[in-house]
Amino acid sequence: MDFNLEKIDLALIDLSISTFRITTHTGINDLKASMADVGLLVPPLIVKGAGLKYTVISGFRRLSAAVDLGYRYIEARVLDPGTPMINRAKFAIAENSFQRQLNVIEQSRSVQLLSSFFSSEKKFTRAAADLFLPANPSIRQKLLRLSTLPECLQNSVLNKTVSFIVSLELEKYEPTDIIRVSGLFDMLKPSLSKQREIVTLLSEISLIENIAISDIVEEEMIQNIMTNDAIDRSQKMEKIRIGLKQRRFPEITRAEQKFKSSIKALKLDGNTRLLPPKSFEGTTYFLNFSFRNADELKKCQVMMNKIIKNPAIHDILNS
Amino acid sequence: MGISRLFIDENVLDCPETVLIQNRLNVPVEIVRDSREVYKSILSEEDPVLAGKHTLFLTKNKGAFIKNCPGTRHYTCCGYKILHIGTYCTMDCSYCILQSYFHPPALQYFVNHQDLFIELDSVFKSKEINRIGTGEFTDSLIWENLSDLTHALVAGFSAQTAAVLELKTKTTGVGRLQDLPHNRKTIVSWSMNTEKVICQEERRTSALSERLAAAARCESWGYPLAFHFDPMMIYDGCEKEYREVVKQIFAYVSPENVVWISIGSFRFTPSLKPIIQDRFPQSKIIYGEFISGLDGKMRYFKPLRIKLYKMMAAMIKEAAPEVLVYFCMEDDDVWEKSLGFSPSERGGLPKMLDESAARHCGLDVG
Repeated sequence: MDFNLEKIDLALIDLSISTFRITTHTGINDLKASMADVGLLVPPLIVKGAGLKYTVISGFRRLSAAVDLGYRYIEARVLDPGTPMINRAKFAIAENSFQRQLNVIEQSRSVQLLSSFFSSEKKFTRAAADLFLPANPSIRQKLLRLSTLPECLQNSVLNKTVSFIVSLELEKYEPTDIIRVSGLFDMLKPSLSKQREIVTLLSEISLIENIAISDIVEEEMIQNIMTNDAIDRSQKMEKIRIGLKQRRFPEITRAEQKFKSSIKALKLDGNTRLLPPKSFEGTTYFLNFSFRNADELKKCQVMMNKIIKNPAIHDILNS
Repeated sequence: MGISRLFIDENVLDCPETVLIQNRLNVPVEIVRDSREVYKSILSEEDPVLAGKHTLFLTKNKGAFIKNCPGTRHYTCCGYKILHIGTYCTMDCSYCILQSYFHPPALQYFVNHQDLFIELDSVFKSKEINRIGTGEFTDSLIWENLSDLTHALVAGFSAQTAAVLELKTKTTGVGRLQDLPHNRKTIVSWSMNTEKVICQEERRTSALSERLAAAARCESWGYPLAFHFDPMMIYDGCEKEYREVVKQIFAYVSPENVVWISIGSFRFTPSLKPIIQDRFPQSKIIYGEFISGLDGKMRYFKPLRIKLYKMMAAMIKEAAPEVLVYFCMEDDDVWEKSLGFSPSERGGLPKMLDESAARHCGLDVG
């Protein structure tokens, strides 16, 4: 890397150009405290742009901290203006990836930045590996897709409220749909499997009813649950999941509810369980008794006789 | 047929059927040593499922020509036998299982017909009735412009009394059946669906009225007929529309000449869902109330199937009380709730179908 160590007027450094920005960290308080205490340890890397101003290659946070601390000048590593763009990109990535493990958004920014310089998969793979970036073509493609998603969704992925995989599933939807779903997940923080289930339910309801996903999320059913302060996050998630499932599978839900109410009518004790055929498709029911001794076994027998005599069991079996 | 590429297995180059098809098709030919060359070519296309419909591979059936229908033990199978003449189809139905059944899906036509007839001869000598069809892995009549196999099959079946041939189709390509000496040993059958399903989900197939007109022509030439309501789709207003289809059938053909009508609802392997989503984004058929069936395939929730079946069975019974109605791949519970009996009460489904075939087609029983 060819550079000169120079004292540069901070007003000449354009912090708004984020072409080479890799980091997702925006907080600068820790950095300010450190710079105030021991000064600037590693000078930022900049390069002279087309006009008078300098473009930042790395050191966005250090420069912001310096501005906040009231510096007028800062010592910077100034690259030769003839430095090829590909090298500038590599420096930007290396300055981050050689210091710490990049998060998924930083990886996606890096891959996107680097990809524009390579048409050959093989050459890209080599360059990515040299910069500690994922070199696998399939992961590269996913990271590239992630880099094009709306910022709110990228933030949700960064905050781990939307999984990387689910964010890619959301890619095909309208930005308003994405904003609503990521907003929902930001608040409820569901597990990966729940995220997938909710996205599938929303997308299928949307297709069946010709209604936008954002409109479904905005409906009273979901909004009432979201604003209900009497229940916690996981209860809200479960209620929304059940509500959407009922809407997507009305007949199946009705059958499940009917079975539940018949089970209630059977008044089973805590040691007895009656299970329906899976999805009510087969014809075999399972009656499960738990007992520890002969007395308890006798109680099971009594329970069994009660079940047989109860009309609810016939409702179940003849439905 | 829309075939733009012809691959020929070097081992069947001199086969008479190969020469015939090559002359009739008149498209660029590539001779291959290995089927993998064909598959590789199809897989390199952007949409291999579609590419497979325009690429024909003439080869030899190295396995059995006659196979048992791949039913599962959880549901009642009709005991049908498949005459494996080729694979895949030039039509493009959204729900077609063949899209995911072959890897990759490719139009293959087996030209070693000598072997096929040797196998058939042994079936013809059987003491039991056999119902054999060519429409399981392909459409029976899409090959009519290329091959004379149907002609030979109809003639072959006409000269015996142990088996019936079922030609199952969604086309109207029946013209060449007209003067064949069939002796009522060939049943011509059509896949039936509502106008809406045909229009939205069955690309490049014939319209309902055209299928029925073709059925009427076959009836006029003395052929026994059959109809298959499979896959039935559940959607708002479907019952009324299926009722209309039943009415239409018997406006075109007489019930006495219908050997059987099968009923089955849409079911699909989980692997088909992404293919439909990708190839038919407008299709909503995969968004019904499906559950995972006992055979691992997605099926409509049972009470919904039963409701539709009951209506269909009643409608057919009213229009054609003597016609045998059966379910394709359903259990006794569905049979009892929809038709009021299970096949075992009548000797089993294969026996019911054999008897109907014997009655309509003049087969020797036992």
